[in-house]
Amino acid sequence: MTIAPALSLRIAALAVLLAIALSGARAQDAPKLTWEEMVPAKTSDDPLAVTSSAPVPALDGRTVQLPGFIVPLESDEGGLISEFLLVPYFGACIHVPPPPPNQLVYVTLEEPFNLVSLQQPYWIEGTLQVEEYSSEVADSHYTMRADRISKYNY
Amino acid sequence: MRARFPIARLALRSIASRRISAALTCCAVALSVLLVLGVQEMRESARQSFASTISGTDLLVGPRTSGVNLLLYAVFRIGQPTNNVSWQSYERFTAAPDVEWSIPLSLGDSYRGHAVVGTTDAYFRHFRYGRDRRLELAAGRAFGEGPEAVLGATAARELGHETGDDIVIAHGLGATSFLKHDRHPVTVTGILAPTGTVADRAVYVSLATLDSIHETATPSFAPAPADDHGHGHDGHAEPGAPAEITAFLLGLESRVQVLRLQRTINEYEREPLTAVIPAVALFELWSVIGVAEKALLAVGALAVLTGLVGMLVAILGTLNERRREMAILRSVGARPRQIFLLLVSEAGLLAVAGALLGVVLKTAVLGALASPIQARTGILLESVRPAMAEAVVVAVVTAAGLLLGALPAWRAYRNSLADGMTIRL
Amino acid sequence: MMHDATQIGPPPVLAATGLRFGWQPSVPLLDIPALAIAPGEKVLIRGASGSGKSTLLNLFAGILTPTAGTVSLLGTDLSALRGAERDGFRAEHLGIIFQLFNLLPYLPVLDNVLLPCRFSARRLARARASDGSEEAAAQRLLAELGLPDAAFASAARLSIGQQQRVAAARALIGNPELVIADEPTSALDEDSRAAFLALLQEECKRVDATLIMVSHERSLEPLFDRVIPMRELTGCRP
Repeated sequence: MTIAPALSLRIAALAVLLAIALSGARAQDAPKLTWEEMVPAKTSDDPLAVTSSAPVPALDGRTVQLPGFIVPLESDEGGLISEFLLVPYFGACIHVPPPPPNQLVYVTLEEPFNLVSLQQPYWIEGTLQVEEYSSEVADSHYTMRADRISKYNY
Repeated sequence: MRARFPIARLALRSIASRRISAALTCCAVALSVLLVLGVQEMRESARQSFASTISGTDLLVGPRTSGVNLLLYAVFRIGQPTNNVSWQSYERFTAAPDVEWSIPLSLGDSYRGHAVVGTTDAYFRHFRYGRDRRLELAAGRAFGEGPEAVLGATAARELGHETGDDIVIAHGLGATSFLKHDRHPVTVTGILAPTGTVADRAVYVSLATLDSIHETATPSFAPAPADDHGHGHDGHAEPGAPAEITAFLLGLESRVQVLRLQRTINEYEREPLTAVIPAVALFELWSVIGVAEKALLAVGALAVLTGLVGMLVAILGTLNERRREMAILRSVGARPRQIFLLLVSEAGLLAVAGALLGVVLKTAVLGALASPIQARTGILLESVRPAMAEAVVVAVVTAAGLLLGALPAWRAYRNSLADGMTIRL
Repeated sequence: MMHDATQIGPPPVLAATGLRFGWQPSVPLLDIPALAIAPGEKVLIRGASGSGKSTLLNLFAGILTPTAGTVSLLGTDLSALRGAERDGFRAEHLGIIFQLFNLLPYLPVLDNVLLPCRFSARRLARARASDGSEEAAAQRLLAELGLPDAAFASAARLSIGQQQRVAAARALIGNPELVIADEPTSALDEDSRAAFLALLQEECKRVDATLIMVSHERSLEPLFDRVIPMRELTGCRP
């Protein structure tokens, strides 16, 4: 009589653990990325050396979470935003110089979303890509197809 | 089973016997429902129309002004431009390496109440609306070198023009003007397919046509005006090009460049300019309008509540004289609960009838107004998911009516318990 | 119930035992040690206005419950029933006529007469059984009460006498066992009174219904089998 309950108990425990592991793996958030990591490290110690504005090639294909402010580029009939630039600080249009190409991300969305306010920062999750350009017209920059967007809570 | 039938029929008969009061109550509720639904539908349609007006444009550039203001007068043609952009600036930024295409816009003229837009054929090639939809011609072709015009779908329909017709363009934005360019009629070469936006209401001509018309605008006996309405007659940058335009649109090779180019334009030393991302300006516009929208909805909800309270007052007023009626019902075996149900049903029936009448009224009123509204604003009043909003409102109004009806019903319930079968009248 | 041991017969239609009722506990309005009304009896309870007649009728109809004692209708103790059950019982077995304003003004006469059938399956069944349909039963009753063409008239348009007769039809449809009438003739003129009562009693007899009527009119006493003065039933012994 003691064997059967012990066995079924173990099976149950195993099942629960498995469920947690599986669900955990899926719901596990992508690693958070900081804007500093998107800039290539300085190659020399010379303080006057200019920081590169090129993207970090190693980030190509990485699935990450990135916080930032949204500059809408395209909205649909309902006023939902379908394309935007993600920038590290608010006022990128007005107060301070615009961010260099490796400090912004051109994001597109499957499902246009409802932007609450231009001053509301968001977490954007998706796979980062580095688009290579080598013309005088455009620089290489980051793009992302976003899977998830959530409000950033201070 | 037996309980429901008599009560429902009694409720109906009871309402029918007080036809006039019931009808008035229904009308009050119906009018408030009309208000809520009408406002809702106009809101949705306006939003759709506005949001679809421009797409795929990276920057809108004009003289120094607020982004929203520029969007309003240059794209939506609401409000007047007060300043202009020099042709040099336009050319300089069109030639910038990041820029793939540009569309110049020259506004300020009108033809019989419809805005005249001076532009180039780049407008027809690059302008997008809705979800990246191109402009299409329903008839004819775009204007060419000569004095030719293309009409928006609504403009063509309202003015009764077809391809091949000649039109004459007047100065200023009013419906009539006393300076007419009589000697230079312009031929309609094409008509655009409807877009459901303000683009439908305009008359499009080439910049050269617009300018050549203004060359001979001034009557011989009047001194040449120094600068009339910004269509300068002095110092053209090139022969055939206007000195100034109202604003221009830019499309970039890569959208990522937009912030940098925007900054460059905003800081241009030669001329005070504003470059705005249309999507951002649109978003800001909605934030402003959003507050008004919420206020309108709140007013609508209050109107509905007022209508229902009117119904409540009407029912409460009759309670005393109906005590006899309740006593009779009790004497034939009605339970106090059924008395309660009777009054709640009456309230519910009035509310539902009023709500449904409101839906019918809204359909009729907006149906009648759709054409004039589209004529004046370019907004297409085709309902966005009509069934949903209306069903929700009818359900909510009925529920509110039932809730409010519970108040007199409760009174009647208590009364019937206390009175029993005997009322001393 | 206290009764003569030799009296064996059908059970009383209405029986009250040790019945007491008062709006305030210290002031008994009604005090009835024993009362029994046999089936088919025509009883007049006579008393002045305000002597508690209406309260008594409310007790008989099960609207009010006694402070003490029991009221039984057809052998069923009314106070043992719950409120809704009493309402149902009333619908099944009782027909009630008021002094005035008997009819719902927004229903035509026929629907007024049919009201009990809407609240009692049993009366509906009986009406159908006797006449084929409840409407036919109502029409017949109206005809017998002298209103053959009134069925679709608006209730509000009738004279008082006509209204009282419609009320009688309503009380009788579906053959209830007991008809209770609260001063039904007080609003009628002298000549109509006797006529109305004659009609009422005849109809009651036809369906074997017991009639209990309450009135202050002495002149009606000869028309009844039994007369109970109100003061025998009240707590205040004069």
